[in-house]
Amino acid sequence: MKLRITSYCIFISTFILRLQCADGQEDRLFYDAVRTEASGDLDQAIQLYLKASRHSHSANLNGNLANLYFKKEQYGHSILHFRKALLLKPGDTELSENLNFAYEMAKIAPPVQSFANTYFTANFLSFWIIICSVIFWTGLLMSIYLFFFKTSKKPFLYLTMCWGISCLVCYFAAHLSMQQQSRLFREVIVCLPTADNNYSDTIPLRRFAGESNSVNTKILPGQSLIIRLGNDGISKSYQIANGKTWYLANSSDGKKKGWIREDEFGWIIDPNS
Amino acid sequence: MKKIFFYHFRLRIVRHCLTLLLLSLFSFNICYSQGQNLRVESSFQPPSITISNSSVYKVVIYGSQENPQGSRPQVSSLIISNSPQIFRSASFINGVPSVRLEMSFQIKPKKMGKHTIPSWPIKIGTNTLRVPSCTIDVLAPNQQDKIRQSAEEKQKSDLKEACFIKFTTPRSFLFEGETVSGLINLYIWDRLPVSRIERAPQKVGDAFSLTELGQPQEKRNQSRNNKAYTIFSWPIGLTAAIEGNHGISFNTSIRVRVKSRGNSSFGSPFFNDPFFGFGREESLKVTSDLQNITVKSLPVINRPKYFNGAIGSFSTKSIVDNDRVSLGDPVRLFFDIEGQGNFSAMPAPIFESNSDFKIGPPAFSFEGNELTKQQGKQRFEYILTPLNPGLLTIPVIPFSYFDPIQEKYFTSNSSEHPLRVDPGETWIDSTSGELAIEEKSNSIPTTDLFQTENEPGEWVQKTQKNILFDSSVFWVAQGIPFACVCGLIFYGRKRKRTGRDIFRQKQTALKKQMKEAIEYKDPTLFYRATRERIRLEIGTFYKYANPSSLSNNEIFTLLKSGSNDESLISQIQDILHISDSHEFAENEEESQSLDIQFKKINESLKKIR
Repeated sequence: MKLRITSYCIFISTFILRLQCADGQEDRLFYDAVRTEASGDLDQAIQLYLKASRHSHSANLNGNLANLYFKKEQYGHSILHFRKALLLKPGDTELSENLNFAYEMAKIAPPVQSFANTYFTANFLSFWIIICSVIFWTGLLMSIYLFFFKTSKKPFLYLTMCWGISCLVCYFAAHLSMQQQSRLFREVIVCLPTADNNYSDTIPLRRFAGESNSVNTKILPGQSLIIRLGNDGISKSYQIANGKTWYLANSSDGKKKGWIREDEFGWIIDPNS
Repeated sequence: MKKIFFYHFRLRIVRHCLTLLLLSLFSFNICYSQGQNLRVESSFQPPSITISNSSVYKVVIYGSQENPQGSRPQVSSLIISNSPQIFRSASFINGVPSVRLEMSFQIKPKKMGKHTIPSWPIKIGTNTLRVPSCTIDVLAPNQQDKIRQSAEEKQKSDLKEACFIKFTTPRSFLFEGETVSGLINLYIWDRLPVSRIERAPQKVGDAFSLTELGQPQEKRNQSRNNKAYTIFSWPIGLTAAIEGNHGISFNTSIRVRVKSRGNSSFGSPFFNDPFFGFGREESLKVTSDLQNITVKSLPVINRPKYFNGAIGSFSTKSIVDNDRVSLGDPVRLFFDIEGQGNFSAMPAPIFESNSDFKIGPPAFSFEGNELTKQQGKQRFEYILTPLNPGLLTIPVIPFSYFDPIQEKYFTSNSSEHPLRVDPGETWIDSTSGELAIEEKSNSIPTTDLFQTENEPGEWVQKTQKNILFDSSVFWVAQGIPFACVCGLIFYGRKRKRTGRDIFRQKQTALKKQMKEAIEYKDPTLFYRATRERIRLEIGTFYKYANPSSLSNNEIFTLLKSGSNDESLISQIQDILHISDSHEFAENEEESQSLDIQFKKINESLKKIR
């Protein structure tokens, strides 16, 4: 019995210590990165931020990383990390302005702000689900009450009609938000591979997966692409002999499409996390 | 057989021959009588009438049926119709054929006394005859005429009270060119079945001009002369145009639905229940009383130089949109005239170019009552172009007007405005500057733009927040309303099965019936519903199998079986007794009002134990 209790205590304390170590690690890495950045070693600062981001995420970390990439004139990466930072802090005006400036420098038109883009985004999904749920249950309860406990059938009919319409509207809004959510999960930002310096200013989208295949179209770093889904409902990808994975993607407006290598883009939401 | 046929044939021929003979004889007689003994007679029928009645002037031509030609004389004291009724006849008098032509003229006398239509010539074919003179005696009105006349006058006054126009102006005199605001009110009695107003009131009186009449304002249930009227009001701006004492009135016409004349018992088509399209529509002219307004001419003495015809009470103000401009740049000067007066007839104040400024014709704009244009603000916008550099002064705009209340001329001067006019600048090539700016913008110090955060902020494990569907809390929370729904359905079904719902439906229906009975003051229906309700509620309360079959005695037995007061039982007994009296004995006596009875029954039924 004593042995069992001791082993439990050891296990719990180890777990807590591990958590604390992990917590401390990303903070340490972040502060190291800030100090390194202050000393002027931008590349080292980027590496430290990236290392910290493997453990955990924060809006400030991604914002600082985006700033560094911007200073390095790697606008694709800069836009990617600004987008990540904005996912964590959607209302931050400074981040939004910086992102717009990054778009401008990358010579890419920023996404058009419309009513649908504002109120039916992935951020509003929870809101619409809650509204949908509240309307559904409230309406159902009231309909049942009117049906069983009131003699007049008119209010029941009117309420049921209103309830049905409201449910449809909310369902439609939630559906739109879910579509945006699904799109966001598959959205990637095109970035120039950092290891390769021989790259031109654009990224080719190929007709088939593989380096040797002809170019379908070219896109600028910083532009967003949507990874296509296969018939099985998962991202359409292909792994070639050298171990690199290729993904079939198209641009946000659907005009450009082709295969892109995994190191030529960055996921806004990492599918492995 | 052959003989019978010939006999009938012969008979028919004889009958035809006789008919032809008679017709030829008749036509021969007519032809023969034409031109025989031509003579003319004239008479009044009746020859003597009272002044309110009418007579017929009859001219009879014997011996001809040809249309006569002639000119009937005019008599000043008689109104003679222009289109006579003509009647032709042919007859045998003592075996002698005779034809004649009668002309009947309707006569209406204008005054009492003996009136004679003198002899006048008439041409028949080639013959000229003289119609003899004829005299009618017009007597003083009798009692019946007086009654009819007074009835007509009463009808007219009634009609005038039913629909009339009132026109109000602020003053009884105006100055020539002055504009005042007025109001035309069309009063329509609520009981007069007016289908529409055919047109807006029209002015009668050339000495005044009127602004356009817009849509009227409608006021309902306005009391006047102990009658309820609907008033349609048109605000107007009235401008006096011609000097002198002039009358002005307004008239309009309305469309009124009236009953057919044949059914009218009083001779008046109005006020006789003209409902639901059985009548016809008639146009009714509505006229206002003539109102005399004196229009005075404007005094000549002390008339200012800049007086331009503005009459009213005004205040002026001038504003300049800029106090510093470059040479050649225009300046806008607004001159506002605010107050009451003849804005529609007011010309722009004279403001001419001088050596310092080139002044264009002003633009007008009016803010205020657009319909009457009598009260508001008139703005004149002048564009001034400075001609010289330096510190210039925009001169005052002189404006004179006549105040009709104080009967004096006034001059109002706007204030002077200083204006600094800079000399024109030399043209600079902007290309080099733009290039410099562009270069500057390209070399933005990015270190200044993107600030580094020193604190990491809140750490999260995932970039994207969890979807609500993946949250177990969300699904657990859904369980609560689901349980409520299930519970409610279960309880509702149970309730339906126990028959409480049917009881409540019946109870509601009976209560509704009782309320309706109270509304329509129907005691029989009320007490019938009461008895049914008492049976239902008491029967249901004591779980009696068939409450509608309960007799009064059974109800009392049930009540006694419970713990009810004697007073309550007696109260219900009384109610049932009254109900039975109403139902079977048709007892109409009503000790209490139904409303009180209803409350009493409700209270009694609540007390049942």
